[in-house]
Amino acid sequence: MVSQNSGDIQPDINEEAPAGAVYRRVDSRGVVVLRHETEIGEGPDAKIVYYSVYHHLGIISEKAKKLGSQIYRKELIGCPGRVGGQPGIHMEIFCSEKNLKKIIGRASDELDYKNKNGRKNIVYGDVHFYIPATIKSYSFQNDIPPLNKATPSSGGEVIGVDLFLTMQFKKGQVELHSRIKSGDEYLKVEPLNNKKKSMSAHGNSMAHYEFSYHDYEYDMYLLARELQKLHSTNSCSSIYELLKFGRVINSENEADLSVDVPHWHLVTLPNKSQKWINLHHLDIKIFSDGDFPPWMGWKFIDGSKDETSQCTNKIILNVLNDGKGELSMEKIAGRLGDDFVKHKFSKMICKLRSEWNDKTIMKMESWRTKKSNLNPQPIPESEYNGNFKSDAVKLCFWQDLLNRNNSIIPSGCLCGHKINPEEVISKKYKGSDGNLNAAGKKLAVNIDIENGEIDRSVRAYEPLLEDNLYYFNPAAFIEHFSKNMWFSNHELAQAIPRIYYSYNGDSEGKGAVNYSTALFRAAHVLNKKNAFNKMVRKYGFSEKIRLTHLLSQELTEMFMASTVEEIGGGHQQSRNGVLFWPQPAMEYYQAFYGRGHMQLTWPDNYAKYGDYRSKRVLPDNTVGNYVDTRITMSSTHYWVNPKDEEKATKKKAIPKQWYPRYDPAKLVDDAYSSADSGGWYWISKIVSSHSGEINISRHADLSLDSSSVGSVSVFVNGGGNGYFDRQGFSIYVKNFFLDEKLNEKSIKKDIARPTKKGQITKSVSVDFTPQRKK
Amino acid sequence: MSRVVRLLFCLFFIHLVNIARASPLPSDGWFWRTGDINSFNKKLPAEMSADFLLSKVAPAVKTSKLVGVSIKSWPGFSGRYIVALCVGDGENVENIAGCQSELYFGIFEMEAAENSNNYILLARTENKVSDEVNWKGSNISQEENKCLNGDANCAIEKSFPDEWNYIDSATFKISENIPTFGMRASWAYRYAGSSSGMASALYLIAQFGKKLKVIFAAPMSYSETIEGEWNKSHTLKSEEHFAVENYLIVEEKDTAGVKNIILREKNGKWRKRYKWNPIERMYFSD
Repeated sequence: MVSQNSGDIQPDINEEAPAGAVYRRVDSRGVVVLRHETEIGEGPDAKIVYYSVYHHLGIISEKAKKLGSQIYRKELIGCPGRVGGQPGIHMEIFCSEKNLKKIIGRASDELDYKNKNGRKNIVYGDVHFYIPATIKSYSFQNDIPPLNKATPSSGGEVIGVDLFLTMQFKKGQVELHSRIKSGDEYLKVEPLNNKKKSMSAHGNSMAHYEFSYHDYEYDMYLLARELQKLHSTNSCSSIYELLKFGRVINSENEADLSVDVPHWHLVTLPNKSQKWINLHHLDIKIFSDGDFPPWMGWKFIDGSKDETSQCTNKIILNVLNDGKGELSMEKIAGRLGDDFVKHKFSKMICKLRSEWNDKTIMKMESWRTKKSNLNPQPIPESEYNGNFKSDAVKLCFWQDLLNRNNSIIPSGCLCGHKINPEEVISKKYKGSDGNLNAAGKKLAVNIDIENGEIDRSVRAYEPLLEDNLYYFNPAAFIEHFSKNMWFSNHELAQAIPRIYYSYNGDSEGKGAVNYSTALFRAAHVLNKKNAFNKMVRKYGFSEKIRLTHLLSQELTEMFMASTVEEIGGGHQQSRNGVLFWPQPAMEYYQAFYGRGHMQLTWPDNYAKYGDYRSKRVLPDNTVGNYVDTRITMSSTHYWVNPKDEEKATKKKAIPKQWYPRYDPAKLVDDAYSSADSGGWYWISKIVSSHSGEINISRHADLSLDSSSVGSVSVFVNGGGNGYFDRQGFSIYVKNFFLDEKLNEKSIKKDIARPTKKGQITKSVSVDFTPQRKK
Repeated sequence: MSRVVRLLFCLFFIHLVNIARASPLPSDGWFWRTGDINSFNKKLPAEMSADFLLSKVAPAVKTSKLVGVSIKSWPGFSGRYIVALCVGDGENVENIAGCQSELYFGIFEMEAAENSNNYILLARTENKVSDEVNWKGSNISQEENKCLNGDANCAIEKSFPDEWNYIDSATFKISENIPTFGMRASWAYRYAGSSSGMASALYLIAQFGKKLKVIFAAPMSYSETIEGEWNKSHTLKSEEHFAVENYLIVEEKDTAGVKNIILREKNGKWRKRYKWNPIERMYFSD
């Protein structure tokens, strides 16, 4: 963070002042520049640095005035001053060329969409398909695509024109938008008759699936299952990725797909008709918003050679000029209000030098003294070299920024901050002599590993600035990255409450987690090997409400992100030398105790997850040795709670053999599977026994009120365990994740938990103390 | 011959027949297919090969789709057997207790021949069973979430079971002219953790000439075990258990010659009467 207090430029109080003095109507007591260091995907190429500038601030917060301060999301940096006589600020977002390459995947206008797929390590937002003209489209009876075929044996017409298709998931639905290229423009093609609107809902369930666009995203797991049945050598999980991303992106963890698994969609063709295209075709190339596709409007403008600040680049002038006569100031003013023009400008990435450079500003602004169509009322030279120069130079901050950023403020202010072992290794990890016990030694090693990872990762940030900058439209940039839900571990640590509420059946209490502990848990448990990020991306937690619901549940299921294993490991405990089962059901599930982010329990859940991932990635354990020695080649286990099963079926429940299935310990040892199993549970959970509807997101999408959080709790664990804790987490996480003003005061909220035998009400206290490093 | 002697003779004779001709004994469970069409986890009774049963009961279904078979003697109808065929996509079924896909029924009668038994198909369902259970007005609420959140309309829909469990061995004498048997079905509520729940329903299927038809389908039980709160040592503090169970009573009173059915909650006051509708040929609640 770099701030400059220029201090003495006051608002022009002379309303009668001539138009040429507009520049004087600036109330600016300074500028704040934030350096952002964050992650947008996996690996060093996804660790980016960019800068945001807040100019013409009327008030600057004390924290923001301090050079090198760390500013967190939703923290106040100041209040708007005035720009052009109106309250407002001037905002910029820019980055260096090295970071531009990371952010958009290239440093030129060319996206080689015809030959290469988009990046796999940086995928977010909408999915895009380049469909070459040679691809065939088909019509099917009743508009039901053949899920068993990738290429129908007959029929089909080549589409004839290159198509650019965008697939967007939103609140359980999918939208598809077609574009064609015309010259340099990409034109949207709307269907003459949108068939999807007249398609009926089938009420799909595990027992019955028919292709439908109604609730397509909510039912995508059912479609993947259906496809897997028809293409049985493929993994259902990989097919789910095909439907979600157009391809398998978690290729390190998921099985390859055979080319004959189709990905049918009803696509609007250039002639405005709608036909079916199988998008799983080698010639079709696949991208995401993370590739900044040109058909979404992203365009490079090179203004680095411009001699003035007038934006005389031909592309810009062409957009401003409507083709009727010469450009004038009035015309520009009119065109700037036009939605088409605003959209065009919002997607321009402009290579420029900072206008706030005191060495060049007077040269760049010199056009103001020359009369032209675009500047009918020039400033007199004396005024230009007098007041204008005086104010302009005061507003310049570039040299200070360059100096402070490149030499004073170290890189990795937060992302380089390490875990302090002293804060994490508590008493229970030490013996009476103060030395580390076995668990403590293991913890210390793991902290070392994560600190080493922090060292490595911080080197991937490239914060140095040089004169050439790449500017984004701030609103478009913010909107664009609001779809990116990839978190750095430091960011995730902030979602683990510093002080949390817990209710344990007979008393309410508070717990505290310090920053180092939160960071260690984020890095080593919750998001180990980016498993949480990958799960969030795969299962559609890109909306903040959904994500808040997910975190509220996971924080409880994983005991404040501290473990992916049920505490006690499904073993009996001893009290006064007498063994007892800490809970009745444990007697029956034992070795199949809770593992993974959602604490899958019972062989039934493990078996279903294994089927989903396939034996190719969770292969049979033919050796027969399981980490938990209660599972052997001949041991038998109750698939579900026999007490309930026997009541319903009136038959004695019979335990069954697990062997040779995969080792359930995979859901602990393999970070990807540990997180993925939680996502799978979420999207495959039956949420209405009447209709058979699946997917917890159906309820999570409704709201974040206590009723919705309660519903989601019921679907995750029946609603008993940690019901009130989850409510508290949701309120805490929401405060920091959602865009509303930050609530800094702690609150108490009465939450009712309905049960079959009446209501339990608790006053849940939520402490908004933010999770920050010391 | 006195009645007692006649009965003893019959029992002895049937016993002998069973031994001599390896007649299918009633089976509580399912025979699950493990490989090709006649390969099962338990040996199917002689003369009741899978392809024979499929060709008679559901001839339009491909043999590759047969997942399992359940056979049971029809209580009260000596020499007749109820056959349930489970038909699906050949998923791994070795670990399930019931049929989780489509169900077809057939009634066979054994005709003793000199060296083997012949089984003659008497009736069958024309299509897979597709009748849903109506939860409206039931004392059993399935829509857990909505009901827990106080939604008064939480149990008004119909649903199809997750699993067909077993052919019920009770006799259901609703009319002299309408031979009837039962099939139990269930729903499982699987939570990520150790909480669980199950609901069950009873289907009654009747024979009308050569056709079998579902005449009744109602919820019978609900059982739920919910994990309670944890204490500080992360052991369970409490557990919530909730269970409802209904009895089925065939009343003496009838409607259009078919006896009324009453469902009554065990240890509860709830009850519901179902009456025969001769036009629809099935039961409807009051």
